[in-house]
Amino acid sequence: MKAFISTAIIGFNYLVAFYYGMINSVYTVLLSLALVVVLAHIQRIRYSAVREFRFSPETPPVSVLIPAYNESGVIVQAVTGALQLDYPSFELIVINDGSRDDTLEKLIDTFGLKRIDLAYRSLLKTKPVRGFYYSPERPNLLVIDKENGGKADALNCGINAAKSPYFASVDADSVLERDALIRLMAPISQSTLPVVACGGVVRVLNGTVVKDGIVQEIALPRDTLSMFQIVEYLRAFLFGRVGWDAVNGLLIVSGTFSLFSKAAVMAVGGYDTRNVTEDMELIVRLQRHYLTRRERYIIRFISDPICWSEAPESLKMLARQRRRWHLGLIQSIMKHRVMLFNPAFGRMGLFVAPYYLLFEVFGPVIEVFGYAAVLLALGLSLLSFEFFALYVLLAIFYGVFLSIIGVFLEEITYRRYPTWEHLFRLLTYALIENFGYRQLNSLWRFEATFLYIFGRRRWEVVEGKGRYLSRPR
Amino acid sequence: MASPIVIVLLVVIVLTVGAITGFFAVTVFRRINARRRYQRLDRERKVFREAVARVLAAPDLRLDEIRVSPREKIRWQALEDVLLDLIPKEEYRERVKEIFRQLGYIAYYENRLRRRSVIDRAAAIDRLGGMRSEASVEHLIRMLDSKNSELVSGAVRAITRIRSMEGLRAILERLPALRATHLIAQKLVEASLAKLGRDGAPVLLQHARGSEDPEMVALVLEVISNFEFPEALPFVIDRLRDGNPEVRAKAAKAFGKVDPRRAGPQAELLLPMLEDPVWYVRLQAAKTLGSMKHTPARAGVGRLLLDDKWQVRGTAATALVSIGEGVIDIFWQILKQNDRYANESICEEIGKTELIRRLIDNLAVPAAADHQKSREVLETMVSLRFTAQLEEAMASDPRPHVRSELARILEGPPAETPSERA
Repeated sequence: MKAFISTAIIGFNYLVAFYYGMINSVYTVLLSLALVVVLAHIQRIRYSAVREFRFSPETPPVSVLIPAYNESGVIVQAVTGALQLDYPSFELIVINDGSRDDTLEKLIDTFGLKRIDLAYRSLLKTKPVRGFYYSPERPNLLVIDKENGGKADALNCGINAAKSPYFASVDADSVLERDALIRLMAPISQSTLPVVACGGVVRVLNGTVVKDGIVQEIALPRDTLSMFQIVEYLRAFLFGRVGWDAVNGLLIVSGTFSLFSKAAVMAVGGYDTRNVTEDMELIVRLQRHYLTRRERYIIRFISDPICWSEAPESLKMLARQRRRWHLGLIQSIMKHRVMLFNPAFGRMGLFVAPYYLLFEVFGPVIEVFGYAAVLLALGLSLLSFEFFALYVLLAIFYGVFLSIIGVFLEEITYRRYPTWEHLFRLLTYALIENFGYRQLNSLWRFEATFLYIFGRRRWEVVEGKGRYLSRPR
Repeated sequence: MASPIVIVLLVVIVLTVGAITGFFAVTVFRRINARRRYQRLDRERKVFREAVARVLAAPDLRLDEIRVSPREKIRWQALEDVLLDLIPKEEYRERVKEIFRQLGYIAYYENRLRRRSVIDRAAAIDRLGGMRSEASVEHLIRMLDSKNSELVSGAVRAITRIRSMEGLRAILERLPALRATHLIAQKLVEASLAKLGRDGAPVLLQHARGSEDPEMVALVLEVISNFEFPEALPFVIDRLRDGNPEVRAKAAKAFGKVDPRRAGPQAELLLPMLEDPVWYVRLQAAKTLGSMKHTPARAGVGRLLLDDKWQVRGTAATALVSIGEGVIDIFWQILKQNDRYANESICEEIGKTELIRRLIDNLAVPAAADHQKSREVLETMVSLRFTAQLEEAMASDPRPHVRSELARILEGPPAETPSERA
């Protein structure tokens, strides 16, 4: 029996080592691609056609959808900022999703809205609409008041009311840079292939100074948790998404800031209200839809349109957010499991979806059990020190490398954090996030796996945001 | 002898630490270097700004003071930035173009067009366009024949910035082939050509007249609808009867834009298009008639309120509100038809515009011609649950008579909520 346990532990250790070797190889490939793509993109921006599209009447109109639930503290800043977008033709639709606070009243008072009635058609089924608010002085702003049904439901309601061929979803606790929308539209304006979705970069708002809905000054926050998230977002967006975009393998664009073809989203039935990460599920469904029909399409990620979004500042709220993200990932992958290892879906079926299953869904489970097994094996003297060192190297040391590369990519490209203090703080946090913070994340994701298995698949609300958007500084 | 696993470990550690250190060193070096570079660039720009002002103020071009070699990279760039800032100003443009030529900038960037790197070539194309280098048009035309879409789209933009008619003709000649073989989007071409404004319009028109390609004609019509261009009116009128619906729709759009004064009296030419079998032609005709406030179109546009396509119904309602005169009468007639979708479009349009105010004001004068019709329109709105603004008026209108009328209207038959209606 003892021999069996020893063999099992050692075997598992080898599996873990192999797993880390594989995932780090994938990351290395993504990183290499991202480096090439981002550097080329930066050079291309200098002569980009975006400038022409900014003033062209031919640029397609866009509906910007902002779903809001209890966003009283931030909604005015978010709407003020969105109304200042540098875009030739857009309508802004705020969907008050049955807020229990005074979100709606604040919008009505600030923007001088009056209640009107519209010829609204519920092509995508949603919770009942209670009313529409509009002002002839701001004809491109519409507020919809509806019963609470969740973010996906609110977005579906916004899509029903949207009059433009494209819509952008933006979170209420976020502010867009003025040229973010026109930059996000660039692939649509420049491509003859139908671009059905396009994602931009989300950056952490914490620490910045926002005035009238515009980020006036970029600074780093004082709190550790926000710093960890800044490093994490840089890594995820500047090399993760860019890398996947380079191989046309995107399965996620952030719902915080993304653009969609309305016709494409309507064709797949809108956002899925049962999924806790409606953004990822929609992208997977779009991929599946178009690949099944063998129609030509593209889903893009662009690294220069920027949306600043508030990140949770407490462990409790961060845990809720991360559990939800992972739960949504599992839900999306399991719902569309027909794509897994299926050659009919091309690279998406053979490579991208399996990557998400093997490394993103199973990753936290292997990582948490891996830590336990390695420590147990070391304690029982079943493991040589060399193997232990190899494990540490693969699990942590390479993570440090990737985090630093994320900061480096930011430094050589957009450099939004200009001072030496910014640089050293980012590098310090890139180093230390791998000792504790990353493991904590794995633990939350591990929890989410069990929530999924035991059927507790509900949306965990992140509260207490709005500090940076609501407070005059 | 170390075990293989230790060797692997050591190699990976050394490589990773080396990479981290390397990246860190590069980052620090870049920062220091960039700081120095930008400080110097700012200084040089300041110096050149003053020097260029002196050169431009002198009666003849003496460039000794600002002569600079491409090898002096920062000074070269600083002078280029200063000159590019001046080129949009018409009073300096020709002299700045000459300065660019004499100082060797044009030759320098034309040489870069021969580089292997697509990014280098595309950047050079952009610069030549920015410098408005007419002498480079020939090189740019050659770029239109490139197999790389980035270079082709860059060349289209550069030629249109230079406003070269020779270049424009080259673009137009190649356009069908470019669209077929390149990922060069229609919007990009339209946006670029529209930037030419009136200057390019005669060439565009001439090309469209000789073209049998409907896509080309539609593109030209779209571009010329961005500005007034009276010479194009006969051509636009001719294309209102084109066999291609895209061309007809674009012609209907251009009709109201190229020469509004002369087109006004001929607006009845658009009336048959309100019955076009293709919906977007009907839509565009209604839109143009609305923008021209063509009163005789009321009945035809009014019929579109019952169109199958919601886009056409919405546009027709907006167009009627723009026409203004007699619109209450039209809405009143259509609202009697019991077409729910059409009625909702009308009610929405009434609610979004000042028309709702007019309808309520009409209630104040029982003897007014539109009193009864206004009342019936408002009753229909209530029956379709478009009540929000009426309720608000009832609460805030200072006229007791109007309030009591509104109260009676609002007491009409109960209707469903917006969601029930959907």
